[in-house]
Amino acid sequence: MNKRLITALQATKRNLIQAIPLVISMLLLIGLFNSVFKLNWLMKLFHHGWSDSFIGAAIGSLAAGNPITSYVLAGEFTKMGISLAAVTAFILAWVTVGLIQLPAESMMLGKKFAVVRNLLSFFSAVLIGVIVQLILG
Amino acid sequence: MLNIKEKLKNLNGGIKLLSIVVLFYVILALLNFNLFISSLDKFVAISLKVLPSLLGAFLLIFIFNYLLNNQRIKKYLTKQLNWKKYLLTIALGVLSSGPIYAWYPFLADLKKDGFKNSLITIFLYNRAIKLPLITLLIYYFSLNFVILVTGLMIVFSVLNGFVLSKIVKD
Repeated sequence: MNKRLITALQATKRNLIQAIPLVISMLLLIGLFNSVFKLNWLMKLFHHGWSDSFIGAAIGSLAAGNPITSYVLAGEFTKMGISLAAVTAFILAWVTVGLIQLPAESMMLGKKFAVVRNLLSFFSAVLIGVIVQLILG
Repeated sequence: MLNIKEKLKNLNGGIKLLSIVVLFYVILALLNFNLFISSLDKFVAISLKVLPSLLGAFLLIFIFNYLLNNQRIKKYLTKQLNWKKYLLTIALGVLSSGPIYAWYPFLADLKKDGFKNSLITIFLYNRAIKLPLITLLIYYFSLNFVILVTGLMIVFSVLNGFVLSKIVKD
């Protein structure tokens, strides 16, 4: 068998062995989080002002799961009158910020890296939300 | 006792985390059985939904491992950063799929080979651009929204990479 193929298979096997317990942990935590927090409760936190971008990012940071869910929810939020800034920040934070994933990211990539990256992603989600609102609002 | 401590210390980080989470679930079962069952139900439901994209992620990881051997990583993705490396990392981030946590061990491996923190940041941020889901975003919002958000995300990914590189040393 091609040496490069064997090396790639071995590397992937190593990644898989490391990833499986991480993935199961994350899914267990997401299951718990989704049982405890109902997203429609979080809707009451929006004030229909500029702070909504920050609130949208905060809710997106706490949530986890398939991004499709965030798009569907964001669509529903928009129908309920939540601002484009909040909805954009929510979608972006959902995928780029991971409070639930933070322990796993810290373990694999370093605590300082994980904290700084997530903070930067959070504030980026807020800023992008505001910019989108200003341009398309 | 020292032997057990040594063994625990050498355990894979993922296994340590899983042990803590499982212990948490055991305590939860004792304190609030209904919440335990509800969480377990949601865990199973989410796992089944996530499984295809997880398999997709590992297939992509295999392809990336095949294409990006140590020499290529060193040649294309390490040392002095330039716009080509940024573009390549952005493209890899956009093409990657599956849950973010599936990629951590792969990125940790690349990091050992010299892949910089700034590029890891750019890769992880651009994972948010999900090409197969763009049509869904257009449906809920608009094409202008998608173009604007995608452009801003690429710009902010590079900015984030730059800022992170100043705060977190490689």
